[in-house]
Amino acid sequence: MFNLSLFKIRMFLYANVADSLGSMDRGGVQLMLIILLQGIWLPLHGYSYESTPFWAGVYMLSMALGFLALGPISGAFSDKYGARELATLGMIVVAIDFFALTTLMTFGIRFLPRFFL
Amino acid sequence: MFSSPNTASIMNSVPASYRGVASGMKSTLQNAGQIVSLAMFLTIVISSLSASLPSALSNAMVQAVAPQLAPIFQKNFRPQRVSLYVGIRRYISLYLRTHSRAWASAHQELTSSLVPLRFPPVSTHPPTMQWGAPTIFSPPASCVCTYPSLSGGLGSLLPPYCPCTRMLKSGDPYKPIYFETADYGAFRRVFGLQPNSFNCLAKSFEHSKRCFTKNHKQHLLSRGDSSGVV
Repeated sequence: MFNLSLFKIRMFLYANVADSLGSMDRGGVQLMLIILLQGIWLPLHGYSYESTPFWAGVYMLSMALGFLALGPISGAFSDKYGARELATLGMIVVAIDFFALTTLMTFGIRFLPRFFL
Repeated sequence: MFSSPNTASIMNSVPASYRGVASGMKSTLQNAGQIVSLAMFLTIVISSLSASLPSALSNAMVQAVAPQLAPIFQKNFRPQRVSLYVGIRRYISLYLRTHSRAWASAHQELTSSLVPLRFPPVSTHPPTMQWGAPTIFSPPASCVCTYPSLSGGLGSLLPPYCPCTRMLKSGDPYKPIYFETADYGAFRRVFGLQPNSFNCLAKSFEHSKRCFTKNHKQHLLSRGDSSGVV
Protein backbone atom coordinates (compact mmCIF):
# COMPACT_ATOMS: atom_id res chain seq x y z
CA MET A 1 0.00 0.00 0.00
CA PHE A 2 2.55 2.56 1.10
CA ASN A 3 5.22 1.49 -1.32
CA LEU A 4 8.47 2.78 0.13
CA SER A 5 10.50 1.56 -2.81
CA LEU A 6 8.93 4.36 -4.83
CA PHE A 7 11.10 6.76 -2.85
CA LYS A 8 14.08 5.39 -4.73
CA ILE A 9 12.89 7.54 -7.59
CA ARG A 10 14.57 10.87 -6.96
CA MET A 11 11.93 12.96 -8.65
CA PHE A 12 9.15 11.32 -6.61
CA LEU A 13 11.04 11.73 -3.33
CA TYR A 14 11.88 15.38 -3.73
CA ALA A 15 8.51 16.29 -5.18
CA ASN A 16 6.82 14.68 -2.19
CA VAL A 17 9.12 16.44 0.26
CA ALA A 18 8.36 19.75 -1.43
CA ASP A 19 4.66 18.98 -1.44
CA SER A 20 4.49 18.20 2.28
CA LEU A 21 6.59 21.27 3.10
CA GLY A 22 4.24 23.33 0.95
CA SER A 23 1.18 21.98 2.71
CA MET A 24 2.87 22.68 6.03
CA ASP A 25 3.29 26.36 5.25
CA ARG A 26 -0.18 26.55 3.77
CA GLY A 27 -1.81 25.08 6.86
CA GLY A 28 0.21 27.25 9.19
CA VAL A 29 -0.53 30.43 7.32
CA GLN A 30 -4.21 29.61 7.21
CA LEU A 31 -4.37 28.94 10.95
CA MET A 32 -2.33 31.97 11.95
CA LEU A 33 -4.20 34.34 9.64
CA ILE A 34 -7.56 33.17 10.94
CA ILE A 35 -6.43 33.60 14.54
CA LEU A 36 -5.00 37.01 13.73
CA LEU A 37 -8.12 38.18 11.93
CA GLN A 38 -10.62 36.76 14.37
CA GLY A 39 -8.87 37.62 17.58
CA ILE A 40 -6.92 40.79 16.89
CA TRP A 41 -7.37 42.59 13.63
CA LEU A 42 -11.14 42.51 13.04
CA PRO A 43 -12.11 43.43 16.64
CA LEU A 44 -9.64 46.32 16.52
CA HIS A 45 -11.23 47.62 13.32
CA GLY A 46 -14.78 47.92 14.46
CA TYR A 47 -16.21 44.50 13.72
CA SER A 48 -18.34 43.18 16.56
CA TYR A 49 -17.20 39.98 18.20
CA GLU A 50 -20.19 38.07 16.89
CA SER A 51 -19.35 38.89 13.30
CA THR A 52 -15.61 38.25 13.32
CA PRO A 53 -15.83 34.57 12.24
CA PHE A 54 -17.88 35.53 9.22
CA TRP A 55 -15.56 38.30 8.14
CA ALA A 56 -12.47 36.22 8.79
CA GLY A 57 -13.98 33.65 6.46
CA VAL A 58 -14.64 36.32 3.86
CA TYR A 59 -11.05 37.53 4.06
CA MET A 60 -9.76 33.99 3.74
CA LEU A 61 -11.84 33.56 0.58
CA SER A 62 -9.09 35.36 -1.33
CA MET A 63 -6.84 32.39 -0.67
CA ALA A 64 -9.42 29.93 -1.99
CA LEU A 65 -10.03 32.14 -5.02
CA GLY A 66 -6.32 32.11 -5.77
CA PHE A 67 -6.31 28.33 -5.71
CA LEU A 68 -9.39 28.21 -7.87
CA ALA A 69 -8.05 30.56 -10.51
CA LEU A 70 -4.43 29.54 -10.69
CA GLY A 71 -4.80 25.77 -10.33
CA PRO A 72 -6.01 24.98 -13.85
CA ILE A 73 -3.94 27.77 -15.40
CA SER A 74 -0.69 26.59 -13.88
CA GLY A 75 -1.57 22.98 -14.73
CA ALA A 76 -1.90 23.94 -18.38
CA PHE A 77 1.32 25.93 -18.24
CA SER A 78 3.16 23.02 -16.66
CA ASP A 79 2.12 20.80 -19.54
CA LYS A 80 3.38 23.40 -21.97
CA TYR A 81 6.60 24.66 -20.40
CA GLY A 82 7.64 21.91 -17.99
CA ALA A 83 6.73 21.32 -14.37
CA ARG A 84 10.05 21.91 -12.65
CA GLU A 85 10.50 25.57 -13.51
CA LEU A 86 6.90 26.44 -12.78
CA ALA A 87 6.92 24.71 -9.39
CA THR A 88 10.14 26.48 -8.47
CA LEU A 89 8.60 29.78 -9.48
CA GLY A 90 5.56 29.00 -7.33
CA MET A 91 7.72 28.28 -4.33
CA ILE A 92 9.61 31.54 -4.86
CA VAL A 93 6.27 33.36 -4.90
CA VAL A 94 5.37 31.62 -1.63
CA ALA A 95 8.67 32.70 -0.11
CA ILE A 96 8.03 36.30 -1.14
CA ASP A 97 4.56 36.07 0.35
CA PHE A 98 5.97 34.80 3.61
CA PHE A 99 8.39 37.69 3.73
CA ALA A 100 5.44 40.01 3.09
CA LEU A 101 3.62 38.38 5.99
CA THR A 102 6.46 39.24 8.36
CA THR A 103 5.92 42.90 7.49
CA LEU A 104 2.14 42.60 7.82
CA MET A 105 1.92 44.57 11.05
CA THR A 106 4.02 47.45 9.72
CA PHE A 107 2.38 47.82 6.32
CA GLY A 108 -1.14 46.84 7.16
CA ILE A 109 -3.33 43.97 6.19
CA ARG A 110 -4.21 45.29 2.76
CA PHE A 111 -1.07 43.55 1.55
CA LEU A 112 -2.54 40.23 2.61
CA PRO A 113 -1.05 37.94 -0.02
CA ARG A 114 -3.66 36.81 -2.46
CA PHE A 115 -2.12 33.70 -4.00
CA PHE A 116 -0.57 30.96 -1.98
CA LEU A 117 0.14 28.46 -4.70
CA MET B 1 1.31 27.97 -9.08
CA PHE B 2 3.21 25.38 -7.09
CA SER B 3 0.92 22.49 -6.42
CA SER B 4 -0.35 21.67 -9.90
CA PRO B 5 3.09 21.32 -11.53
CA ASN B 6 4.32 19.49 -8.47
CA THR B 7 1.51 16.98 -8.70
CA ALA B 8 2.19 16.59 -12.37
CA SER B 9 5.86 15.86 -11.75
CA ILE B 10 5.01 13.35 -9.01
CA MET B 11 2.62 11.50 -11.24
CA ASN B 12 5.06 11.59 -14.15
CA SER B 13 7.93 10.24 -12.12
CA VAL B 14 6.38 6.88 -11.24
CA PRO B 15 5.74 3.93 -13.57
CA ALA B 16 2.22 3.79 -14.92
CA SER B 17 1.28 0.75 -12.85
CA TYR B 18 2.07 2.61 -9.59
CA ARG B 19 -0.01 5.72 -10.21
CA GLY B 20 -2.67 4.87 -7.64
CA VAL B 21 -0.10 4.15 -4.94
CA ALA B 22 1.80 7.33 -5.77
CA SER B 23 -1.32 9.46 -5.60
CA GLY B 24 -2.28 7.97 -2.24
CA MET B 25 1.19 8.55 -0.84
CA LYS B 26 1.13 12.11 -2.07
CA SER B 27 -2.15 12.95 -0.38
CA THR B 28 -1.07 11.15 2.80
CA LEU B 29 2.11 13.19 2.99
CA GLN B 30 0.21 16.36 2.23
CA ASN B 31 -2.25 15.81 5.06
CA ALA B 32 0.53 14.80 7.43
CA GLY B 33 2.33 18.02 6.54
CA GLN B 34 -0.76 20.04 7.32
CA ILE B 35 -1.16 18.39 10.74
CA VAL B 36 2.52 18.84 11.53
CA SER B 37 2.16 22.50 10.62
CA LEU B 38 -0.63 22.89 13.18
CA ALA B 39 1.57 21.35 15.87
CA MET B 40 4.53 23.50 14.91
CA PHE B 41 2.74 26.82 14.71
CA LEU B 42 0.74 26.32 17.88
CA THR B 43 3.88 25.26 19.72
CA ILE B 44 5.55 28.46 18.61
CA VAL B 45 2.55 30.51 19.69
CA ILE B 46 2.18 28.85 23.07
CA SER B 47 5.86 28.95 23.89
CA SER B 48 6.07 32.62 23.02
CA LEU B 49 2.90 33.49 24.92
CA SER B 50 3.28 31.20 27.92
CA ALA B 51 5.09 33.85 29.95
CA SER B 52 2.45 36.53 29.54
CA LEU B 53 -0.81 34.86 28.53
CA PRO B 54 -2.09 33.48 31.87
CA SER B 55 -1.61 36.73 33.76
CA ALA B 56 -2.98 38.80 30.89
CA LEU B 57 -6.01 36.56 30.69
CA SER B 58 -6.68 36.72 34.41
CA ASN B 59 -6.21 40.49 34.45
CA ALA B 60 -8.63 40.98 31.59
CA MET B 61 -11.09 38.62 33.23
CA VAL B 62 -10.89 40.44 36.53
CA GLN B 63 -11.26 43.85 34.93
CA ALA B 64 -14.18 42.78 32.80
CA VAL B 65 -16.13 40.84 35.38
CA ALA B 66 -15.34 41.67 38.97
CA PRO B 67 -12.46 43.77 40.27
CA GLN B 68 -12.68 42.45 43.82
CA LEU B 69 -11.98 38.95 42.58
CA ALA B 70 -8.44 40.01 41.75
CA PRO B 71 -6.71 38.27 44.68
CA ILE B 72 -8.52 35.01 43.97
CA PHE B 73 -7.72 34.99 40.31
CA GLN B 74 -4.15 36.04 40.83
CA LYS B 75 -3.76 33.29 43.36
CA ASN B 76 -5.11 30.69 40.99
CA PHE B 77 -3.71 31.97 37.73
CA ARG B 78 -0.07 31.68 38.47
CA PRO B 79 1.81 31.88 35.19
CA GLN B 80 3.20 28.46 34.46
CA ARG B 81 6.41 27.74 32.70
CA VAL B 82 6.13 25.54 29.66
CA SER B 83 8.99 23.54 28.28
CA LEU B 84 8.58 23.13 24.58
CA TYR B 85 8.57 19.35 24.44
CA VAL B 86 7.22 18.23 27.79
CA GLY B 87 4.54 20.66 28.50
CA ILE B 88 1.77 21.20 26.02
CA ARG B 89 -0.74 18.59 27.08
CA ARG B 90 0.13 18.94 30.72
CA TYR B 91 -0.09 22.69 30.36
CA ILE B 92 -3.55 22.61 28.85
CA SER B 93 -4.99 20.26 31.46
CA LEU B 94 -3.36 22.18 34.30
CA TYR B 95 -4.64 25.43 32.90
CA LEU B 96 -8.16 24.16 32.62
CA ARG B 97 -8.07 22.78 36.14
CA THR B 98 -6.80 26.04 37.65
CA HIS B 99 -9.40 27.90 35.63
CA SER B 100 -12.29 25.89 37.03
CA ARG B 101 -10.82 26.09 40.52
CA ALA B 102 -10.71 29.87 40.20
CA TRP B 103 -14.37 29.95 39.25
CA ALA B 104 -15.30 27.65 42.10
CA SER B 105 -13.51 29.64 44.79
CA ALA B 106 -14.74 32.95 43.41
CA HIS B 107 -18.29 31.73 43.47
CA GLN B 108 -17.91 30.28 46.94
CA GLU B 109 -16.63 33.63 48.19
CA LEU B 110 -19.59 35.44 46.67
CA THR B 111 -22.27 33.09 47.95
CA SER B 112 -20.83 32.89 51.44
CA SER B 113 -21.27 36.64 51.78
CA LEU B 114 -24.94 36.51 50.85
CA VAL B 115 -27.29 37.93 53.46
CA PRO B 116 -31.07 37.60 53.28
CA LEU B 117 -32.93 40.89 53.35
CA ARG B 118 -36.64 41.44 53.87
CA PHE B 119 -38.96 44.17 52.90
CA PRO B 120 -41.14 45.44 55.72
CA PRO B 121 -44.07 43.04 55.96
CA VAL B 122 -47.35 44.63 54.89
CA SER B 123 -49.35 43.31 57.85
CA THR B 124 -47.54 45.19 60.63
CA HIS B 125 -48.73 48.69 61.37
CA PRO B 126 -47.00 51.10 61.65
CA PRO B 127 -44.70 49.55 59.12
CA THR B 128 -41.21 49.45 60.49
CA MET B 129 -38.24 48.59 58.47
CA GLN B 130 -37.05 45.14 59.34
CA TRP B 131 -33.76 43.88 58.16
CA GLY B 132 -33.48 40.19 57.97
CA ALA B 133 -31.20 38.57 60.43
CA PRO B 134 -27.72 38.75 58.96
CA THR B 135 -27.32 35.01 58.75
CA ILE B 136 -25.23 33.27 56.23
CA PHE B 137 -27.38 32.27 53.35
CA SER B 138 -27.48 28.54 53.06
CA PRO B 139 -29.24 27.61 49.86
CA PRO B 140 -31.90 24.90 49.76
CA ALA B 141 -30.95 21.66 48.11
CA SER B 142 -32.48 22.63 44.80
CA CYS B 143 -30.29 25.73 44.76
CA VAL B 144 -26.92 24.05 44.88
CA CYS B 145 -24.71 25.22 42.08
CA THR B 146 -23.46 22.71 39.58
CA TYR B 147 -19.97 23.19 38.31
CA PRO B 148 -19.71 22.11 34.69
CA SER B 149 -16.51 20.23 35.18
CA LEU B 150 -14.07 20.34 38.02
CA SER B 151 -11.92 17.61 36.56
CA GLY B 152 -10.70 19.60 33.57
CA GLY B 153 -11.93 19.38 30.03
CA LEU B 154 -13.60 22.07 27.99
CA GLY B 155 -16.58 22.23 30.35
CA SER B 156 -14.48 23.91 33.00
CA LEU B 157 -14.32 27.02 30.85
CA LEU B 158 -17.96 27.63 31.69
CA PRO B 159 -19.11 29.46 34.80
CA PRO B 160 -20.97 27.42 37.40
CA TYR B 161 -24.69 27.07 36.86
CA CYS B 162 -26.61 28.31 39.89
CA PRO B 163 -30.40 27.96 39.74
CA CYS B 164 -30.93 30.25 42.74
CA THR B 165 -29.67 33.39 41.09
CA ARG B 166 -32.95 33.24 39.20
CA MET B 167 -34.71 34.09 42.46
CA LEU B 168 -33.30 37.58 42.20
CA LYS B 169 -34.73 38.42 38.85
CA SER B 170 -37.81 40.56 38.62
CA GLY B 171 -41.05 38.79 37.91
CA ASP B 172 -40.11 35.81 40.00
CA PRO B 173 -42.46 34.52 42.71
CA TYR B 174 -39.63 35.00 45.20
CA LYS B 175 -39.47 38.75 44.66
CA PRO B 176 -40.12 39.97 48.24
CA ILE B 177 -37.01 38.26 49.52
CA TYR B 178 -33.82 39.06 47.81
CA PHE B 179 -30.23 38.80 48.65
CA GLU B 180 -27.54 41.35 49.14
CA THR B 181 -23.87 40.76 48.88
CA ALA B 182 -21.03 42.78 50.21
CA ASP B 183 -20.64 44.20 46.73
CA TYR B 184 -23.87 43.97 44.86
CA GLY B 185 -22.54 45.75 41.82
CA ALA B 186 -20.00 43.06 41.18
CA PHE B 187 -22.55 40.38 41.92
CA ARG B 188 -24.83 41.89 39.35
CA ARG B 189 -22.03 42.06 36.83
CA VAL B 190 -21.19 38.42 37.42
CA PHE B 191 -24.66 36.96 37.43
CA GLY B 192 -26.58 39.54 35.40
CA LEU B 193 -29.16 40.55 37.97
CA GLN B 194 -31.93 43.11 37.70
CA PRO B 195 -32.47 45.97 40.16
CA ASN B 196 -35.22 45.45 42.73
CA SER B 197 -38.41 47.45 43.16
CA PHE B 198 -36.86 50.00 45.53
CA ASN B 199 -34.12 50.72 43.00
CA CYS B 200 -31.52 50.12 45.65
CA LEU B 201 -29.03 48.07 43.77
CA ALA B 202 -25.97 49.96 44.85
CA LYS B 203 -22.26 49.67 44.82
CA SER B 204 -21.96 48.37 48.34
CA PHE B 205 -24.07 46.90 51.06
CA GLU B 206 -23.88 50.11 53.13
CA HIS B 207 -24.91 52.22 50.18
CA SER B 208 -27.78 49.90 49.49
CA LYS B 209 -28.91 50.10 53.10
CA ARG B 210 -28.86 53.90 53.04
CA CYS B 211 -30.74 53.98 49.76
CA PHE B 212 -33.33 51.58 51.09
CA THR B 213 -33.82 53.65 54.26
CA LYS B 214 -34.25 56.86 52.27
CA ASN B 215 -36.71 55.38 49.82
CA HIS B 216 -38.62 53.73 52.62
CA LYS B 217 -38.88 57.03 54.48
CA GLN B 218 -40.22 58.72 51.39
CA HIS B 219 -42.67 55.91 50.95
CA LEU B 220 -43.93 56.30 54.52
CA LEU B 221 -44.13 60.10 54.31
CA SER B 222 -46.07 59.95 51.08
CA ARG B 223 -48.61 57.84 52.93
CA GLY B 224 -48.81 60.53 55.63
CA ASP B 225 -47.38 58.20 58.20
CA SER B 226 -44.46 59.60 60.14
CA SER B 227 -44.49 57.22 63.07
CA GLY B 228 -42.11 54.76 61.50
CA VAL B 229 -39.62 57.40 60.35
CA VAL B 230 -36.53 57.51 62.48
